[in-house]
Amino acid sequence: MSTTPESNQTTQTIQTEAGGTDDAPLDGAKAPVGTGTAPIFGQLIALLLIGLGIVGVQEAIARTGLAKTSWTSWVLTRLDGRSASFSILVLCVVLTLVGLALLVVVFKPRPRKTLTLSAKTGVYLRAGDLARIAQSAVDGADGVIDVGASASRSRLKVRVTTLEPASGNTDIESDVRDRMQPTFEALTNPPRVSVDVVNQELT
Amino acid sequence: MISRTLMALDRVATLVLSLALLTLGLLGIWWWTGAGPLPTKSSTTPVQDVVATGWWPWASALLGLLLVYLGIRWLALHLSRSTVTELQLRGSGKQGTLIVTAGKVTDAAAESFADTLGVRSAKGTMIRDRGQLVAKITAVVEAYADLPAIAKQADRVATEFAHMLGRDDLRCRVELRVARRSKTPARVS
Repeated sequence: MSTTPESNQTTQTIQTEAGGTDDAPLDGAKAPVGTGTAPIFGQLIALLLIGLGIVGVQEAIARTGLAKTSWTSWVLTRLDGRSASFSILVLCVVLTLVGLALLVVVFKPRPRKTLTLSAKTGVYLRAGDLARIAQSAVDGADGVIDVGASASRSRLKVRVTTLEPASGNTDIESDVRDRMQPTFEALTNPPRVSVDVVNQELT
Repeated sequence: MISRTLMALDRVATLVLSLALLTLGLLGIWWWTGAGPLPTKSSTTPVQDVVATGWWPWASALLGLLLVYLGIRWLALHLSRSTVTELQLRGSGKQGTLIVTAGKVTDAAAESFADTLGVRSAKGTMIRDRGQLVAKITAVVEAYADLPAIAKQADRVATEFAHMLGRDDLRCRVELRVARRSKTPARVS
């Protein structure tokens, strides 16, 4: 921490005031969001601009006689006198499809993949990580030999494998839900949970 | 983390490229069907006439240099970081300025947060994100971690931030990541 020399006394007083009374945590920041694919295309377009710029400069160099052929003239000559062939149709269909795909990139919102924990400040957990926590919570439950879990922001799917007969599935499902309950209580908007119990027989 | 302005620029540029490709593609398909008033053979003569003029090489070179400059600037913006290195504290004014190295504060807060049971490691940064000044802590937690306890610790760390910096515009964000492989807790014998 640095201060201007002439004002040490004043700033020390202010510092005491600033640090003394606040006992509330900072407000939570906006939930984290991904960047999506738009920046990748932004960078590709930037590279395209650089490429076009180089073509423009090469044109001037070619006209001064330093380069043998101008790239612009070469392209214009190739494009002149062409008829609408099948290969042009294929090219145009591809261009249209790429254009449509880019429209999706433009209007797709930034991806949100986190769940919010109940706290005064902003605490966030990725949906995929919730699956790992749920898996850890269920691991070792009575009668369960294997656990798998997958999660999105709105849904958590847990699949447990047991050697117990199907008649005990309700008890196992209830136990699994009980074990995960503390985790869900920590979330402001817990996802919907589905538990699949798979009965495996000893062979 | 990239700024909202840059994100908007990327989206607008992608939209322009998308519309250009759609127009070109649909025009080409229309040409192929032969239904419209378009000629059966392509002609680049009008463009070649422009290229043959005396001013074209100069205009082409100038435009080319401008495009290269803009392209490089645009790429450089993607590489720039949104990290805040120094912060002015409350009370700074004409008589003096209180400046704190943001990294030191966030490192100390992250270290404090990493002491929580179930938190394996934590690191802190101060960033600008979507118009907010954010003290961000990214923590790796164990799969068995007690989430309510960790949320409480996050609140405590956020309170420490408020004490240390005293800035009303500061926000806090704790991002949790669950470790891929669990570490067995130390045994007490």
